[in-house]
Amino acid sequence: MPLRSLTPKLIAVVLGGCLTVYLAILVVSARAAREMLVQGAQNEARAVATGVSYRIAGALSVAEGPPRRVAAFVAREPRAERRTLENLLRAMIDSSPGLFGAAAAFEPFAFDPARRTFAPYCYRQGESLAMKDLGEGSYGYFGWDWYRQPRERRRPQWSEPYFDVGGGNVLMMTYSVPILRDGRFLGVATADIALDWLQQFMEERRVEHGGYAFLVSSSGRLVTHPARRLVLSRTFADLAAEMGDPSLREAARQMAAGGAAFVRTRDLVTGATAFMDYRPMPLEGWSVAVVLPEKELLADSARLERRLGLLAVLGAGALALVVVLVARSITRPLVRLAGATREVAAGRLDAELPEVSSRDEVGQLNASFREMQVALQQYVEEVKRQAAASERLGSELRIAREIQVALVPKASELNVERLGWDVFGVLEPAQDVGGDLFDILPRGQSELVFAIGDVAGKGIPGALYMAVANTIFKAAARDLQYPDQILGRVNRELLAEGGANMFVTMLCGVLDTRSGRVSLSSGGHTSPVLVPRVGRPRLLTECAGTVLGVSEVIAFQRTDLRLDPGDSLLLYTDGVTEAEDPAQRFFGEERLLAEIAGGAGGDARELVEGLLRSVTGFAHGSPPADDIAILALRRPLESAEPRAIRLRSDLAEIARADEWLQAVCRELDVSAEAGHDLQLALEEVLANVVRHGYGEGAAGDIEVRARAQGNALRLEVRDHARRFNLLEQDPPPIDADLDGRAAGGLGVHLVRKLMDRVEYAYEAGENRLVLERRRTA
Amino acid sequence: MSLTVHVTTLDDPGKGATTIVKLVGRFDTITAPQGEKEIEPVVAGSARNVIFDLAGLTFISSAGLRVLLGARKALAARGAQLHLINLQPQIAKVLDIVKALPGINVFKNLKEMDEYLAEMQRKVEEGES
Repeated sequence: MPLRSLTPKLIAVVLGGCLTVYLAILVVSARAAREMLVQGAQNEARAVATGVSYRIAGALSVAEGPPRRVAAFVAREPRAERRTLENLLRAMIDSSPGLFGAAAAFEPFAFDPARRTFAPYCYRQGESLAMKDLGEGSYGYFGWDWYRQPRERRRPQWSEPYFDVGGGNVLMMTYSVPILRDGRFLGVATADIALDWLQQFMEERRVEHGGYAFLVSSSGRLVTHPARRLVLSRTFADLAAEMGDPSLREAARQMAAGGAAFVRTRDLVTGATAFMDYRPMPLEGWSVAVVLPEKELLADSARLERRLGLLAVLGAGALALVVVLVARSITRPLVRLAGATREVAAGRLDAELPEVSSRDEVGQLNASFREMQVALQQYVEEVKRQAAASERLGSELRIAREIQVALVPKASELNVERLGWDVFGVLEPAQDVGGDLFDILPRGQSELVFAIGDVAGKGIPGALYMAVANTIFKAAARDLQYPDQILGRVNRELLAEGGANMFVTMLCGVLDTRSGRVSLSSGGHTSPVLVPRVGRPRLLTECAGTVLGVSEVIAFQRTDLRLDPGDSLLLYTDGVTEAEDPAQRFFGEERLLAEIAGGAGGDARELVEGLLRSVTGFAHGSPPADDIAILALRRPLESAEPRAIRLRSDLAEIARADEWLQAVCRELDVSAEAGHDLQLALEEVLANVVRHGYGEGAAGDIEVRARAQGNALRLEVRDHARRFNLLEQDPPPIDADLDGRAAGGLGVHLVRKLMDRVEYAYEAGENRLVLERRRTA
Repeated sequence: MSLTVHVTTLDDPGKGATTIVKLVGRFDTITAPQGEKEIEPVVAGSARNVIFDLAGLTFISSAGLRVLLGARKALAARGAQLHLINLQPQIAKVLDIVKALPGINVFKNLKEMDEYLAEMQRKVEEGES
């Protein structure tokens, strides 16, 4: 996906901005258009209402003249006759086509002293006029509003509209004028006007946008309304209350109080939002209202808004397309460059960069990257050259180290018994080879010749120099009696070999293993340490001298000393004393002595390995800067004088053998664990000899000998029973059914596992079984 | 040196009867016959679990081992189990060498063994239900 982040971002910003502005314009213009429409609607509604109100006022005024004239006539002519009055009424109706009927109704005995009720009424019946007396029959006009109200108020009065029940359900209104003579109320003169035309008239007052007009009487009832069922049956206030709309209820209140307003409210019937203009009529208490449903009114506006919205969507789409194209033109070279960068990062430094000809930021980036690529290629070449050189050096060092390690005796060679002495040594080569060496050679029946050295020279030349020195030492050790002589030979021959700028320090010793006497000579080497069995270790500083391979005229000193049983001699190179901790402090001789004293009491191996652990611990794991060589020789506690015990062939004798062995172990410093193992092995062997050698109950004798041998305790069990090799018994079936195991197998298996060495021999009629185990661990 | 054998039987309704055999001293060629005799009633008894507490045992040779292995076999034959607890290092070493451990449950102490037995009991009950 080349367009992942930049293009959507551009689209979001550009389109977002444009659409916001566009939307703002849309909202403002729509609001203005609505306001204009509403303003126009208001004007129109007002015009309609005003027109209606004048037209109706005109129509009603027709009915107001005739009763006034009748009332004036009656008041003026106290002696008027009934016929005159009736003719007057008839003439008025005849001359006023808008009138439906006219009447004059009198107080009791007011017109004709002979009549209690008198109310002549002339009305239209088809094309002709009819006349009747409302005073006759059950009509009883005194209680009717048209009579009662003018009588009480003493002024003319329009009645509420009503349906005339006798006259064909026509909507009627009556205008009543009180007849007053000298302030005395005589009756009323009335004129009925049919309003059947009113509903039609109102419905014809079509208002634009689906609007309509309606009338409300002084009692609040709807006089006309497009919904005819409401006419006269409901009041505006009731309908408003039913609708539950506050603005509508407020309009009802204002209307009843004779107010006028243009408000946004609801349609009385449909409940739809609508604008309404209401205002009072010239007729007392009446109002005219014009309703304009908002939806229809604003239909044009809404249509316009929809068009503008559609336009916005199309415009945004077109804009997005343009933005995508622009963004692509920007990102395409960037994407190609990113691809090339990934290739370079993956190691293909010669990856081809896109051709960008533009001189803009992208072009600059491309150019910079090209420069970086070239620089990287050069750098990598340089690193490769260095790595190759380093590899050559590394392999050289490795070869040198192999030479060095091959020359010193291996641990397995050292750890064997050397004329009964316990000897151990290590060589820990440094990172870049120091050229340390040590060697130990047996000579004759009882002598060991040993040396430790440190060549001042590194790498292959150092290793070769060390090899030469070692070879000369080996030869000299064979031929020459004393260490000072040996060192003298080594010195001369090294000078003869002529190693340029190299020399070696060396400490050489000759040991008589029987007496424990040692002769030591030093060629500039670090002082050896005498580790007595009891007491503190000390440096043999009297061993001093000059380094080998520098000058021919040197005489070496000789120091003689004696190692008692349990004493050790420890030789080392300066890799030990000059080891550094992270704060660059030297390990030093004091620490050397303290560490040796802390770990004293063990065998040569423990002594050497304990010291090496101290040195590496001191350096906190940092690799040694110089080789470390350590060599230790320990005189066994008891050199070879065996102890022995004779036993009868009886299982009960095992307890005695056990006690004897415990005493031996105490004397020869045998550890508890080693003692246990020896004890168990001896018991198994003795039980076998008694049971299977001689046979239980038979007489016989058994001899057990014990002696220290190097670091081991050696037991030898001798008996004169039949030739019986314990070790030839079948090994037990390990991991098989143990319950079915051969009775003897278990013991033999234990013996083999617990002892370091087990040997059987039959010599001169004697079974000899040798058991050997290390005295420690 | 000698061998002392203490036998304690716990009536443990949850796990069946448990017998604890404490061995103190040496279990070697000399003491093995005596030890075998004293253990015999336990092996022939009805305890479902026989626990050898070896805290006081300082030495064991093949003769002692043989007695223990024999006891294990006899116990297994009647569906009982042998457990070893509180082994001294040298005893553990010998047992390890002869690989006598399969079929014998070895525990560091009584608590560890109790947890093991409770777990086994739970598994048995689950299996039965």
